[in-house]
Amino acid sequence: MPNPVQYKQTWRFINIWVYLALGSVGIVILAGIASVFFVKPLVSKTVEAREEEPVRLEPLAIKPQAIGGLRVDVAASIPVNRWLTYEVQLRDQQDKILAAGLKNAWHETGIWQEEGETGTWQEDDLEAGLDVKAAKSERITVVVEVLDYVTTSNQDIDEPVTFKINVHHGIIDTRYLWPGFWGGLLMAGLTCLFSGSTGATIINKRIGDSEVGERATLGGANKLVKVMVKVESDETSPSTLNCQLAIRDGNGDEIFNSSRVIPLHFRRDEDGDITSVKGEATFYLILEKVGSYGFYVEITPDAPVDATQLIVKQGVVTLGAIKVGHISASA
Amino acid sequence: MLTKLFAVTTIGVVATSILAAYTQRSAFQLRQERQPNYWSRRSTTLSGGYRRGIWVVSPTRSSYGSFRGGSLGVGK
Repeated sequence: MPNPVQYKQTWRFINIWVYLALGSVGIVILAGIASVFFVKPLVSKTVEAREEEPVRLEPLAIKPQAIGGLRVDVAASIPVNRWLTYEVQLRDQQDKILAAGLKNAWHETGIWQEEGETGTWQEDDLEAGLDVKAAKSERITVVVEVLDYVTTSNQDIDEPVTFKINVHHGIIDTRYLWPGFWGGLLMAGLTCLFSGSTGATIINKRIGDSEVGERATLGGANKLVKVMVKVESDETSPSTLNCQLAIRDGNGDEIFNSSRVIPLHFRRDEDGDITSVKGEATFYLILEKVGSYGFYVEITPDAPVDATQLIVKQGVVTLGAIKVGHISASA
Repeated sequence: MLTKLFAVTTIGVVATSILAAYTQRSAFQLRQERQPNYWSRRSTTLSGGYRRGIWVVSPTRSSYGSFRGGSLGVGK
């Protein structure tokens, strides 16, 4: 008399690593979204400077901070066909330079010709950016200095240049998050991919018949056993086949008997002829007692069946909740 | 187990990138001679560096007059 098999829906064998990997990719996205909340504007000003006449902003108090840095963004605006070299400087209270960045800015226009068509183009590169992290609390002054301002025909221009200066603090460099996101996504994908290969294959037997059986030693209260039955049949198959799995213990007593309906997938070539018919059934079990167990599969109706493969894996993990047949030790 | 290895690598990659972003590793460290992690933005180049705590202008700054414009395809 077989012991009653208890079926339970369980999350116990879920592959936590897949969720940790996917979750960490989610955290990169959250980190990207959260970065905007740390930013605080300090200065937003439009000023004018010319050669020999740098422009100075009001001194700002800065202090060392663990998260984020101080960002100075400067955008020059100049008419077309001019080149401008300017420097963004940070100066301390003694007017000594703390940091300086050089920008070669330009604004040009021209005519393009291609395959008999013509048109005009206009491009520019006028913005400079300097990010700094403070070493100590101090007052700094932002200075923008025009070093060289010429036309494209190399004539000096003695005109003021308008600069839009924006200073923010708490800036987080989101450029680092992109490799983190793509690299993380790739690794998380590999984690998912290899999740299916977890576990040891105990039985892998394929025969050209509708019945297959094999005996092996396996089991344990904490090991999930996955029994996969793969069927190949011919074009005379019905749309489904019936798969019966029986498990016998070391004494030959039947401890498990269950049947499943296997839906078949018919693959056809371009003429509509059936080239292959395949189907599979999966059983999840816990065999509480370690021992010798025989697995016997029978596919009915047997006439169209070409081959049956029995795969038994132990110690497998799953991506979601599964229904597990629990076979207790008292059997 | 391969899944563990890949998952730990994923977490490592993610943690490194978030740490680098939030500590603003790419920023210019004021009053530091060495700037190994400086990552310029908007093609703004540093025009000097510190030597014994004093800002020293780099020789390339004096050649700014040699900049002669961008061209089609260089801007954005």
